[in-house]
Amino acid sequence: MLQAKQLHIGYTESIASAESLTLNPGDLVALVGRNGSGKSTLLQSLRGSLPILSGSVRIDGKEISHWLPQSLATKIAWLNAHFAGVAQLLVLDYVLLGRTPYLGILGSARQADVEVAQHALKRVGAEHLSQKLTSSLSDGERQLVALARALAQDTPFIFLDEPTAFLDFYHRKQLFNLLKELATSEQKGILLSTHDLDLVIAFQLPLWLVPQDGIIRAHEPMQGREALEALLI
Amino acid sequence: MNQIKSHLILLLSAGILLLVVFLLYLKTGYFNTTWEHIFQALTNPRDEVSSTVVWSFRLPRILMAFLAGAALSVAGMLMQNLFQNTLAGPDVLGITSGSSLLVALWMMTGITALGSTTDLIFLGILGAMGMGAIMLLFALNLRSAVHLLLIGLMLSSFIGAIIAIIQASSATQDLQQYVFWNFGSLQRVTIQQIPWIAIITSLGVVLSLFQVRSLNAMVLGEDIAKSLGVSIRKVRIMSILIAGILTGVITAFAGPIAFVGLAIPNVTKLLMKTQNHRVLLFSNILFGALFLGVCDFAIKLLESYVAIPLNALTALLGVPFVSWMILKNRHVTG
Repeated sequence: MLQAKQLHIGYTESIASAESLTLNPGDLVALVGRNGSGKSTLLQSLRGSLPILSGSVRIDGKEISHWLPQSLATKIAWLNAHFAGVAQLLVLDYVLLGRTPYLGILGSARQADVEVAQHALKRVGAEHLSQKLTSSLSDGERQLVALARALAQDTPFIFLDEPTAFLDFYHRKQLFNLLKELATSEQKGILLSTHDLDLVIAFQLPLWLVPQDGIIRAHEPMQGREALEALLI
Repeated sequence: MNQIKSHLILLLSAGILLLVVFLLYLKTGYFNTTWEHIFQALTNPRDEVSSTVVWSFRLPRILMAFLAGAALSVAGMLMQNLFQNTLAGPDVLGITSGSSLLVALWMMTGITALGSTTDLIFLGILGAMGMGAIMLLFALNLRSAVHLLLIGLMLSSFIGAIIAIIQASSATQDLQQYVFWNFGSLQRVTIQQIPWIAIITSLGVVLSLFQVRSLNAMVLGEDIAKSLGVSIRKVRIMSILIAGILTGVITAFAGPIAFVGLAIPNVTKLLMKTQNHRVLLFSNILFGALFLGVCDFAIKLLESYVAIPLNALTALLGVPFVSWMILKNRHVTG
């Protein structure tokens, strides 16, 4: 369980705060708010990449700042908006990098790691891409293999920062479907920041709203008109 | 696996070529030596001219070429990984000029502290690491790779200016020594110094090997690498430290050698088609050694017609290659 309490976040001064936020394995939560409202800052703070100003963030009861980087990497996987691809990097080798926290210092992947990576690619329906170069993929394919990399990391939590930003509607819907499925069947706790209000409503996702007053609150899934009004604040 | 096979073939070919260059190099020169002379000199050196020629002139020079090529290529690989920029390298980032500054001070002002050889190694490494640290500070505050390269070039000019002042006010003999050092030459290294350079280079390689997991993850950018459990601070410190040691020790003895550290890691990546730094590390060692060995062999063959400084040859070969690379990648940002 990931739990934030009396949270104040920001770089030097508080730009947003939250009384209490909880993410459980199996949850798929949408983080919604305007540009610059503090969504990315919240994601950074919750994954221990930016120190919080006050309050607490705990994973399995242990304060996030007390986790060693390598252990924390077995708890939270992270996907940013755009994976541009890397020259000379094969998809399978890319997904294998998700195993980094489990490898020895010389970075040699064992057969078991390769199997985990292959399974992850299969899970997102991208096993046919495994021998392609990451630099040759389409935007939609890149997000799929990036998700596979996060799955190979084998963490109870996955955070995604606007993963659909560069995708067309078809691929957005496909990614939402996949995330929903992973949350339910693999018990992943998934938090994604997004501007896709239509999909958030259609998939009936619980929400963390970041309004302009900077006080982040958790909401039950919303319906039609009520949702649009709340989300357009 | 197919890739492993092609890797083995490439590395094996490089290894064989390395041996060929090594043997041809030992045989070639003003003084005529037969293969028997060479064999005897290597296995059972006697008090003969051929043995002296091999041990005092040819062997240290070719071994130094191999060591310098390997060390500079590994340093370049680390810099390109750290700055996530294929145009990074010890010379363009001003790291080599850091060594130059301290070596120039030492050669032309006559300040000594620890005895000549130790001084030279120590100052070379110190200067390289100092400039590496300065470039890292800039790298932390600059997003754009172009800005970073500009800073590197400007710092090199800045140091060049200081060196020019030292040159202008130094004695002719010291000046001459520095000018020859600055040409980049493998000739001054003695066979007694080779083991020291080899040990320090090996140290850099072994330290790099223990960084492989982090280097591989760094390819995805610092933010993702961090989320994979990599300590970015540690990678930065280690990469600067290792590149400083490798560049420093080679520059101290052989002078500033341009473009090897920039071009070879790129060639290696293109040939090996991988981002696995364990493979890249060993490939860079072999390809780097081979490249500089061939360069110095060419210089030796042409010696009786024209004297080409090593630094000039590497630039003559490196500039067209890097220009081509920039043109080829002009659509890629970063």
